[in-house]
Amino acid sequence: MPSLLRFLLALAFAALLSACGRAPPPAAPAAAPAATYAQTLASVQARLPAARYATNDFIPDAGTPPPAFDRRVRLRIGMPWLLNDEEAPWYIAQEKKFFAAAGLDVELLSGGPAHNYLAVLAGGGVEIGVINMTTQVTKFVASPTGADVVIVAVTLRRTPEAILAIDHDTPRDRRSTRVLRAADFAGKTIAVETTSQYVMESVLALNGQPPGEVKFLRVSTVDTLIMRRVDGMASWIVNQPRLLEDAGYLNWVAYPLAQHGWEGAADVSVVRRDFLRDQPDVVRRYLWALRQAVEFMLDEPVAAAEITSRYATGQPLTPAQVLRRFELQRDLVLGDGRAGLLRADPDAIDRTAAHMVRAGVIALPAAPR
Amino acid sequence: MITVSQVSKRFPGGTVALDQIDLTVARGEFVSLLGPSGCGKSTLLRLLAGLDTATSGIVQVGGLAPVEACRRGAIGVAFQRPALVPSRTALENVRLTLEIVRRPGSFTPAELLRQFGLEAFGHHYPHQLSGGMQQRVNIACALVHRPEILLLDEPFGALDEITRESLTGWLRGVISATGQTVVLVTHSVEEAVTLSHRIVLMRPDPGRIHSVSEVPAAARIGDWTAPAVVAEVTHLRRRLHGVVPAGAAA
Amino acid sequence: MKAPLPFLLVLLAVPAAWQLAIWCFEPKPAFLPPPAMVAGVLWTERSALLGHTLVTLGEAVLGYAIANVFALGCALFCFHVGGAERVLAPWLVALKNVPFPTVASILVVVMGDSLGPKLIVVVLVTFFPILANLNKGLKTADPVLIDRLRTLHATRWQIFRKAAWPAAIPFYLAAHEIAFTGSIIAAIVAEWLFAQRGLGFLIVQASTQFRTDRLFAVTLVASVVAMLVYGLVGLAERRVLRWQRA
Ligand SMILES: Nc1ncnc2c1ncn2[C@@H]1O[C@H](COP(=O)(O)OP(=O)(O)O)[C@@H](O)[C@H]1O
Ligand SMILES: [Mg+2]
Repeated sequence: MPSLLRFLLALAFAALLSACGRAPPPAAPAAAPAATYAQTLASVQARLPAARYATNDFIPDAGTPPPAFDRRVRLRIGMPWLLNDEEAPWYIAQEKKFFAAAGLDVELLSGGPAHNYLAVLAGGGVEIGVINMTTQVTKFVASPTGADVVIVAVTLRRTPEAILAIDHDTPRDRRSTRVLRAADFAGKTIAVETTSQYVMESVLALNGQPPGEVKFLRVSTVDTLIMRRVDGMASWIVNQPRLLEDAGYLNWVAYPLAQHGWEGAADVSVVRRDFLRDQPDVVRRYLWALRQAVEFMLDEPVAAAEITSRYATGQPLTPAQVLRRFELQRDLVLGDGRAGLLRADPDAIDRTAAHMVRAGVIALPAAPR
Repeated sequence: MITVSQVSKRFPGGTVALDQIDLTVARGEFVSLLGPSGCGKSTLLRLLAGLDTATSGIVQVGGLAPVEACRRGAIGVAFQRPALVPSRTALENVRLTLEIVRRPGSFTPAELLRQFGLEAFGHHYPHQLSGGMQQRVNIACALVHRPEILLLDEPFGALDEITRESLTGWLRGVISATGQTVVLVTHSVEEAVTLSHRIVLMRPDPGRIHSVSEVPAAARIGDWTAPAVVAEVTHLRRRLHGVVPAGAAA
Repeated sequence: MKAPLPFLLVLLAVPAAWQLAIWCFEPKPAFLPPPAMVAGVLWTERSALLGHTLVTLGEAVLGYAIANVFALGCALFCFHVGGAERVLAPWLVALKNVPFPTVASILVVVMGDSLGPKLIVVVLVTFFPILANLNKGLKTADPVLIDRLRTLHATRWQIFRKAAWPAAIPFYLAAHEIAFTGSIIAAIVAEWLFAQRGLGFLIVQASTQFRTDRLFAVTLVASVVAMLVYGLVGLAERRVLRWQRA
């Protein structure tokens, strides 16, 4: 079968050719900037300052009475994930009628891997998008195909991101007391998602561990950690540790990025700039309700967990499981103190953005945007 | 050359296609199997070609089992539908036989096609040839390795009357030149009469030999209208009427 | 290409319609970036795009070659061993319908971010259509021709080579039209799921960075690659089957 042979030979040849084609380095849209971190930060502050796309001016103080309104408003809010306990404050605001008291008829739209509520927000599909991380908003604002949106509140004021590991020196049924250091990851493999690899690399580098000595693998199930296929896993301290505990592994340890110089914030309420300009009172009313809900979550965790377990239709959770999350996230919600609930830190966002520029994840616009 | 003794063939469905057949064919003899559809002509030919085995009885070709005769390249076959590879030219199709059996004394494919009047068509693909030309190429494929025995199953059955008549004459010429032993299955009385030394008349249900008749030399000619041919054809046709079961002719 | 004019028309009509849509509906660039913007990305990032394209192409072609070898082996086996197809078929169908995103994560855990998992995904996607077409094609071999070859005492292999394989060639070529382009998509999906390089990776990266312009650029490159591969198969088909038009 000469024709067949020729065909297979051609295929093999083509395969060889293309395999020899020099493989590009993973993820390098731009050459690494020669500038120092301080210089990069200065450019961020000049060309993409977070002060332009993050504001705390609409967050009411504690103890503010329900805002007056002359007209009820329908509000569609895109949630950051499938309906689980990450969205507890929004369920509470519904259940305890905080939204209703602020004259808001709210519809909570489930999020998830297939949803990009930043684009939906820009397109007018929702009035408010609750986005996972401030870094995502930075990417969106920096992108030439992004849109003009503004952060008006963050629910987790410290990032929940952490490198999760299992301390195999501690029995499974005991909590580990081990403290992880960046150097512990030298020569190890960390499970990441595309969105988190640069974060891990930046944090390790910040803490003296050259990221080149660490291997990254794109997987995302805790089983790989249990099976010891990976040594660490990029995760949210409020999610995966609980999964490990449910699977009988109390001996997890975490390397929380918030404690190692990474200043992200999570569950970020974002609106279009024109919406903020045209209907600032609606944003104020929304944030009033959200604040009441967050305070309730902090003050009445048992009642809050019960409500949440009822609303979390995307992932069945017992009140006990929800309580565990509340416990794990309490400090992240509080941040520097109760008075500052929901407040973002534009300077911190800029510092993070500078790391993103250096990692080649965003390119700064030529002129301030 | 060919010996068939007490051969029966019963198919799994229960059909008795052949029932206790006895037949011998001498070297260089041309024998036609004639009879209505379903009387077992093709089945008998397939037994001779080693394509099927008898339920009982013995089939020998040149003193050997048919499969053994095949192994020695002693058999050439041509069926009603030309067995040509569509992606090969006429010449390449003829060569195909020699790619499988190499025998001393084989014809040169190009030379054979020239003798068959197909010189200009050697590089044509089967779909570019007429039905009659395709069948000539098909017979060239069956002959090119110069087998002692040629088995033909209604080779002209799908052709129009005129082509069939002219090819019958052509085949007589070819066979007289090569001197092969031939068994021809046909339901055409004219074809059988003008080509054969002997005609084996078969009848169905179960397939049996009804009678065997010698064809006078005067009838083995090209002109189907010659009195000797017509007389022999008439004679045979009457006998044929006798073997067709009543009412089955319609 | 036999008809360059219609082809060129389509080639021009697509960006024209695209630009027209932008003028008429003024969509947000997050949904539909203007062609010029995408062209800009294609130009400024050309070397990275080329590099990632070669990675994808390498995986696709290598995986496809493996799928072909397996499919041909399997088809030969089925041809030679009567009844093998009936025994194998349910397993092959099961294999074909494996939800490979789940398999992919297992593969990448077991084999790491190596060539292996991507090749396996490509093979899983392309193996079955090739084999099914081959088996079907081999069965279309002329039984009369096979009988004739048997009277020449042809071996099973000779029957395969001289009768069955020529009959299967048009089917085999038709399989390439689907499966070869499918191999590119399979490689992209594999990269999209777990790789750090290749067009599929670029797609994830572009979408997590909200770079719709780059997303369009990568999609465009992927379509062009698929079209080229399709054209290549068509060319091969016309060459091999040129006797049909003689
Ligand atoms: N492979 C087969 N299986 C079952 N029955 C068969 C098979 N081949 C032929 N027959 C039957 O055997 C009988 C004789 O068939 P055949 O030899 O083809 O007749 P003829 O060639 O004289 O028309 C018919 O009844 C036919 O249906
Ligand atoms: Mg017959």
